[in-house]
This record gives sequence, structure tokens and C-alpha cells, in this order.
Amino acid sequence: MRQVSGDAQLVSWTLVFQKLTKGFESATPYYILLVELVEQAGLFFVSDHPGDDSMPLHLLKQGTPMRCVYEQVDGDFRLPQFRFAEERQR
Amino acid sequence: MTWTGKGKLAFTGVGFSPIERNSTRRLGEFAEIAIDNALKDSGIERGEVDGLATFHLDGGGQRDGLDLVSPDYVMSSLRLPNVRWSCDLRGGMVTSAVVQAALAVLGGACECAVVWRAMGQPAKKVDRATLPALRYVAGPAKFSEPWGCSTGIQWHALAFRRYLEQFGLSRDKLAALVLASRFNATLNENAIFNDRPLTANDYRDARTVSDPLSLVDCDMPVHACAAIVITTAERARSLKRPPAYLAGFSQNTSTGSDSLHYSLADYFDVGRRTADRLWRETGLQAGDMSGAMLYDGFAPSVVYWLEGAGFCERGEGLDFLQNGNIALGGRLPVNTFGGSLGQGRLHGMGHLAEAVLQVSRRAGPRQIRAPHAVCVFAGSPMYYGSGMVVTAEP
Repeated sequence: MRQVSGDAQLVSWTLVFQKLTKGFESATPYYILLVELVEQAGLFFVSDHPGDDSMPLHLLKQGTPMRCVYEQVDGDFRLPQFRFAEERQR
Repeated sequence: MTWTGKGKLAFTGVGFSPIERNSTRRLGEFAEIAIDNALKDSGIERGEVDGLATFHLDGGGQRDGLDLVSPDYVMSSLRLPNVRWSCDLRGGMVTSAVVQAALAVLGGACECAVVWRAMGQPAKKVDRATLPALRYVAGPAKFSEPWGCSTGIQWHALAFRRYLEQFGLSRDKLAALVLASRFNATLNENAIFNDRPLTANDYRDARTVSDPLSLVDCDMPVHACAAIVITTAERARSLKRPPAYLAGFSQNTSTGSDSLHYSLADYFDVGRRTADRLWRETGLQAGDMSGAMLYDGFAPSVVYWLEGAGFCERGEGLDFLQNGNIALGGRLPVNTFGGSLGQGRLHGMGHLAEAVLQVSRRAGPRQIRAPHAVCVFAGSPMYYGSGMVVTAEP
């Protein structure tokens, strides 16, 4: 076990239009983001992001700095999500 | 040092069932037709068949003869009295079952083996919205499904987007492959899209499934079976059809990623490693190939195989597809039978069958010129990535 900073960079993304994943029907279309943790090359993490106007399209570039935040899903269940580091600072 | 079995084995015939959508027929019927056709194509009697091999993916609640077809089923339904060796692989790709049969013939476990792949489309479309929301997920999927990433196309979309960004390219160039494949399918009566070519406008307007991939970048699930007969080169030479010799094979054995989470780097690595091994085993190279049958469950796999096998440099695969380069009569005809994109999903068996037809000069209106050697690369360059070369001469 090793602690990591939560810093990452954007590697890839896809905007999902078809209802492929259970539980995401009402969220479609949504983005899946693939990020690489700064601690290790090839250590990937996935995130999801609403596929609406809240996604700053100009930020969808390889290498964009990302930062881990925790999304409260329900009860005490929290899911790590990666968001644009720049957006978070605003 | 090339494979010691090179030139000692030959494919003598191929057979297809009808290729159907939304069929109500049992999958067993499709297998019976395809195997019967492969034997007739070879000029081999049922009594001579002494080896059987197939592969299928594990799925819950599958019933033999209905949604999978085992050697036992084939033995009894086709009344094959002399089978003395059989093999029923779970998982793998077309190459794995064919290699088992090839080695069985080479080692004397049998002399004449039939290999088939029977595939059914999912029984009925699942309306995922009616399923209970997922509360827990276990295994490798726990690292992706909670974020809405649970299917092969999403991983392919992530890898292909990364590829496009890395090399500064646009998905438009993939159209050349899909259009060529769909054109080739119109020349192949054993293709689900035989009567439906695709236009450039159709490609542009196709429904996006998971950007940058659209519906027509995906193969079509079908009810179908393809079968092939393999025997000794000696026996093959006494048959009426010209044989297609097996020059060698290779299989990816890396354990880097699990079978779900594949990245672009995996596609690059597995493609290169599988191809390098194939060229070493066969003593042949990309430049020796008269054509290439490249797995296209999702269209970008063709690009990764082209680059991995050395037909072009890294990042040049999309350009390689352009200007008729991969068309019949082009520099390297690719997926002359329509690929899985045009024929339907047969998990590589259609690719191998076409390689056999091409090198034995029996591909009819889609015959390529001077078909000395044709390679088959099956799988998505990942877990089940595998390759094979068939040649006109031993």
C-alpha cells in the first residue's frame, strides 16, 4: 500500500451515447475519462463526467492536469472521480 | 529456426452455414450445415473424420446444440463413427482451436480434423434500463464499472481516442476500411451484408455508440457457423482441391492486463509480439504476404495489427488504409471477404476460411492476384491475440 497524491493527467476519453452500462441509463450521454496517476506511468484510473455543457471541451487534451475529488454517491459510499485541476481551483 | 511442422499440414476445405440475424433455429443446425459443407468442399467422407475441435466463450446457461455446439454434439448429430480425438476450448481465439487440431494431426492423434466456430447472437436484446441498478461489482470490473465503463467498445473507444490524439489524426480515415470491407462483403455470399454496401454518407451519419466509434465500426452479431478441415499435407495432395498449407502460428501469452482493461500500449505490445513470433516461426515477413485477414470486431484493431505486423510504421495505419491500398488489387488486400464488419461475427474463423480460399485460388470474384501467402491475425491484439500464415506451396 502506498499513498498517492491524487494528481493525474488526462490520457483519453470517450463520450458514451448508447446505454451500455447498468445504472447509467439516465446519465447517458456521459464521458468516461482515462487518467494516468503522476506517481507511475501506465497506472490508469477511470472516471465519469456528465456529457453536458459542464464539460469544457477545450480542456479535453492529452496531458491536461487532473485532480482526484470524492463524489458522494449515497449513504457513506464515496467514489473517487478525477476532475480538471484548473476547474477545481476556480 | 522455423516451426518444424511448416508445410506438413494443410487445410483442404471450408464450409459456411447461412448467416442470419434474429434466427429462431438452433445453433446446432448451423454447425451441422457448415461442417457438412466443409467436408463436401474437401471431398472427404464423414467416416474419415477422426478429430474435432472448437472453442467458445463461457456464458451462463448455455445449452449444447442450442447456443453452443460441442464436439460431442457434432459427433452424434452428424453421426461421425470414427472420431478418436476431440478438443473443446473455453475462451481463446480461432487460432487456439486450429492449433490444437494441427498439433493433433502432426502428432498422430488423428489424421483428419474438423474445426468450427458456431456463434449465436444474444438471445434477445436486454433492456438494461429494466435491470436493477448495480449495487456491487467484483473482480477486475470493480476498477471500471462504477464509472460507467463496462464493455469492450468503451475500452476500444478510449484506446482509439488516445491513438488519434497521439498521432494528430481524425476518425474519418477509418471510413476507408469500413467501406472497403462492406464492398468486399457484396462479393461474398457468406456475408450478412452481402446485399447492403455502405456509402461514405452512411459512414458519416452512422449512430455513435461510444465516441469516436460508431455502429458501423463494430462487427455484427449473427447466428452462423464456419468450419474448416485440416489434415496431413500428404493426404491433402490426393484430394481434388488445391491445399492451403499451414506455415506456422503464434499466440500471445502475456499476462500484463486482464481480459477487460486493455490500453493502447497493450494493443501495440501484443500486436508487435504476436507478429514477431509469427514471422520467426514461419520464416516469412510482412513483405511476403499477398493479403492479410485482420481481426475487426472493432475496426481500430485492423490499424493496430497493420502496424504491429510491420505492414507500416507506428501511427501510419490509418494512412495505409487510404487510396485503395487495402482493396482487392491494392498493395495489400485486407479482409477480402468483408471481415467481421461485413460478414458477421465469427471470431476469426471467417478470416482463416478466407485465407484458405485465397491461397487455393478459390475466392471467385474477390480472388487476389498471386496469392502465395496470406496471414491471419485474430483477436483484438490483446489477451487472445494470435496469428497464422497459410501458403499455396509447402
